[in-house]
Amino acid sequence: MFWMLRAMFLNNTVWLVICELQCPYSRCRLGVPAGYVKRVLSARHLDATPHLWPWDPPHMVVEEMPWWVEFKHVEGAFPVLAVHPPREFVRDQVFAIPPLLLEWAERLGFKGFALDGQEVIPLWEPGTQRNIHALGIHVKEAKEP
Amino acid sequence: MPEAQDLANWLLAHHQHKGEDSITQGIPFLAVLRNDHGFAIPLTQVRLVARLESFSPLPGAPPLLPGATSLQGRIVALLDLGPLVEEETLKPRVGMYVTVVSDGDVEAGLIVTRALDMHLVPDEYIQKEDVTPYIMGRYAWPLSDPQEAFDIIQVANVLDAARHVFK
Repeated sequence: MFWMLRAMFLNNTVWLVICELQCPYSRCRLGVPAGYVKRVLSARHLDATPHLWPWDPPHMVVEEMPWWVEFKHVEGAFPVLAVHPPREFVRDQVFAIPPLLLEWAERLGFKGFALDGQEVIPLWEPGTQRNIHALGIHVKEAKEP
Repeated sequence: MPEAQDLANWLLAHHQHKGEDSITQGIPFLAVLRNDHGFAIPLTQVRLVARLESFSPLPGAPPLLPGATSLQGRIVALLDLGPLVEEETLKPRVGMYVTVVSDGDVEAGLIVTRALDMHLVPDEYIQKEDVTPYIMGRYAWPLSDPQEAFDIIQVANVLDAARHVFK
């Protein structure tokens, strides 16, 4: 199966829905504003690109082709599993964080949820260095994009 | 304090002599199974029971909060009792049941293997010796097959633990 990035249009922002490999489930999905993304790389570009590798490589899901995302203020590339063919859809509703999850959201930088069919997609803004560290991304220099 | 078995005997006698419809006095609980462990949730704190049709894991969330799902147009955080009752964590699967419980404006979807039935239990038949912050008592229910003991969940404390799981 070939995995691609999905994009969605929400609140006048293009969000990329990505799936982070560091998640113990290997399929945690989250949305990040495209404005924070410097570029998206396919695996074939990896050799020429310095990338982050903060975890043990054997844990990677090697049979699935990972893509890589470079955030604008993060050193290196962040491996992601992209999901579904690229497409755009319009949603004008961001669901608020339920009270039970406020602490989790504040700690990690999640701002709300989107719904795509039945799938719940947490929306993440890498706005603070603390949030980025909490999610396991190593930051060289945190700047607002 | 009556033994849990006393409730079984009382309910059986009540059921046999007066019929099930006559058992109307008692505290109502929703009985659920988490693997083979029976739990009871005060019915006044149950908002909804539904089959888990889909779920999304939450990045960076602890085992107590294994994901979120969409129910009736709302985002509901899923909650697994495992870490609070010192049992193995229960990874959500489609086909399990979600029992949405609430306390004030805080709600969560407890993941359970099966939702069983409603039980009416007189207060005097609830054992309260071995309570914990998350279990407020226990009773035995004779009408289920096989006969089960049910631990009564202290919903407010469970939700509070989940809210402050990082502290």
